[in-house]
Amino acid sequence: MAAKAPDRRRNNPPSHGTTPPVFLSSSSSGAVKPKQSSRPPDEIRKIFLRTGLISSVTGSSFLEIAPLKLSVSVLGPRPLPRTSSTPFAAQAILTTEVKFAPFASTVRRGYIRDSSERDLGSRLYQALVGAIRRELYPKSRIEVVVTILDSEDEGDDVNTVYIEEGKATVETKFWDAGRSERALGVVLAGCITAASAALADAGIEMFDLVSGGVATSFVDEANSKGKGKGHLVSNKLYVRDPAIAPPGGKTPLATCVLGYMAARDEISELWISGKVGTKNGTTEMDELVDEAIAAARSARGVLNEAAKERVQFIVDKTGTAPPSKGETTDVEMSG
Amino acid sequence: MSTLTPQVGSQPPPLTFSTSLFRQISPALYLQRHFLRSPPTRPNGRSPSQCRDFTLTTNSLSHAHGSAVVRAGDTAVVCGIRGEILTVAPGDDPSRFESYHSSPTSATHACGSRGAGGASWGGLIVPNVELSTGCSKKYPLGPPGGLAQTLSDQLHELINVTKLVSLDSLRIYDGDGDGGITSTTKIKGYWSLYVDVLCISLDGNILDAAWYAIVAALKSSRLPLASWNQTEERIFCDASLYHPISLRQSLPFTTTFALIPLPHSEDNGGETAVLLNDPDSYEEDEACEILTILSTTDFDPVRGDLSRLPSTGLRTRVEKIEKRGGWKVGLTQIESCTHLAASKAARYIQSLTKEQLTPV
Repeated sequence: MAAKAPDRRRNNPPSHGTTPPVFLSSSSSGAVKPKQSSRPPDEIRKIFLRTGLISSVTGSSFLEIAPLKLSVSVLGPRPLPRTSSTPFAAQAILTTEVKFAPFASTVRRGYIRDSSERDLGSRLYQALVGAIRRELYPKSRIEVVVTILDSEDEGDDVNTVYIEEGKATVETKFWDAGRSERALGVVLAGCITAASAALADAGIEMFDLVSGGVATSFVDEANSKGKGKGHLVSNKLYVRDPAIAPPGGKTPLATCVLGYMAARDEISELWISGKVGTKNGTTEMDELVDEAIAAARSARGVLNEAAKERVQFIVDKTGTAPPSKGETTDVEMSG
Repeated sequence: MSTLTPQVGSQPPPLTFSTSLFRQISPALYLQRHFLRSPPTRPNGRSPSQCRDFTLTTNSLSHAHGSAVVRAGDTAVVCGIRGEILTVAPGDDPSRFESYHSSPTSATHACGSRGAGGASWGGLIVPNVELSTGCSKKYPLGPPGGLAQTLSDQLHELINVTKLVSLDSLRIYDGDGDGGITSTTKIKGYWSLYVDVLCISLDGNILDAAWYAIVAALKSSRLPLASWNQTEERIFCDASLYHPISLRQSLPFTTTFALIPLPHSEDNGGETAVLLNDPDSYEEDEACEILTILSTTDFDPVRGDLSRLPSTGLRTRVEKIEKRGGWKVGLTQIESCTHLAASKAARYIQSLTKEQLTPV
């Protein structure tokens, strides 16, 4: 890392600048092969979701999907500061913040939020803002903070140098165009699911719980290399909740991430990146979106269970149903 | 609304509040009333000398070289260690990395730039605490506030004062790096350790939790074997060989106490303050002073028996006592705190050893 100006508020590294460790591999064939998952393409990974672990905030949740670990806390609704510059807000002001921990990815991230974190934050905002009944909380703000502790990415491959015929070559193996979108998509879907669990835990009134879903379409590697367009669309493989490594011999086409309200059958956030074409009148986009919705529906099941578990816990503890959580349970039963 | 008719001749009913309301509006009195009971019990149900139960999980993160999750009551912190390589350029003098004292401490900043109003570049071990993770209502989001900066600095100083990491294991040598070489000319680089502590949930006494997480994470860290490559003229790592970071022999641990003032009365035998082990944030807010003891304890987790701890005299060495303010704490109180610190350190050692022995 090049020496920029030191951060006044934090402890800084040595002025010489440090670099992440670079690994040496004698031949590229010895490189780590991407792990093939035994999971069928229409099955999502197991989700661990628990709410109410942080006692000092209004609502919180912790989510774990294989390597992805994130913690969400909801602060508020609390009154807006009373300053002359604060405009009147008839509806609650929602702010969302997504931050990767410095140790959450292969390349160490700084403490200042980078563009991808801001992007995730604004997408999470879009997914949640429509689901919250903001008109019930005038002149107040609700803050959703997501901290990502661990995520799935390229691993040490990005920092590996291969030596071939005595000459070092930097190769980025298994790198493909849709890779970062896939990685971010899985993170965003997790953020959406966990954040709505935390909002429900905070007792904030919502129209419905939003669950996140992600799906990627793949084609055979041979087809993707400039053959006829007819071949391109022939045998497509849709994978729900895709892992970072593509399935063997496949090339990714497009990734779709969405926030989905199952009880109302509404999409609150849609993000498609990659190539989507048209096949026999039916758009492939529809198929991709349907796959993502199916993934979101599976995640919704986990979300329901977590919310139910939490309400049960509160009822057991206090002996009465909490007044603020009633709304969320009601919605849940219809979904 | 009911109307109250004033009754002539009778005492008006006293003003009473429910317990939860009392807790909110008058925390100082609420705490004091708890301590005047016998036996004195804190609002959270603990006795003054009792600390919270804690759990430790190490190496649960995939991208960190070492990590630890510590949860003590409702305080939860995650510490991740990442090593990055600092290459010594030919003209550089590596001696400034060779001792802890060359790196700035909080009292005297060797680089001097912080005194001049700017930030400074640090040493090889870079600890930082992040509190703006929504861990508590009290701390706003955004850049680190006063508490986060203080904590980062305190932890930095603790690492330097205790010489926790032996610098041997951070050196990267020329060639195969056989153990006999100690000449500084052969040193081609250093491992720089980024120690990042994220507070997930905050309910008091974050210093103890953060320090324990740092020690446990460093203890469980594995760095790839790095060496200087002559042909490429840069440092490469071996993806198949990992080595631990060597720490000092007896690990130091911190124990924090909060001093709560009591009104002077005959009921409490003239005592004017009560010392609370491992305070939560409600107690911290009312504390007039915080006392932190850094100590090492000789405790063999294999043969030692934790249930018999108070009776078996643990050999303990106090390395540092930090108490800010002028409240009177007598020698006997300091002594009893040292004993409590020793038994807590023994518990720390035990759970750390247990965690190290469990295969992942």
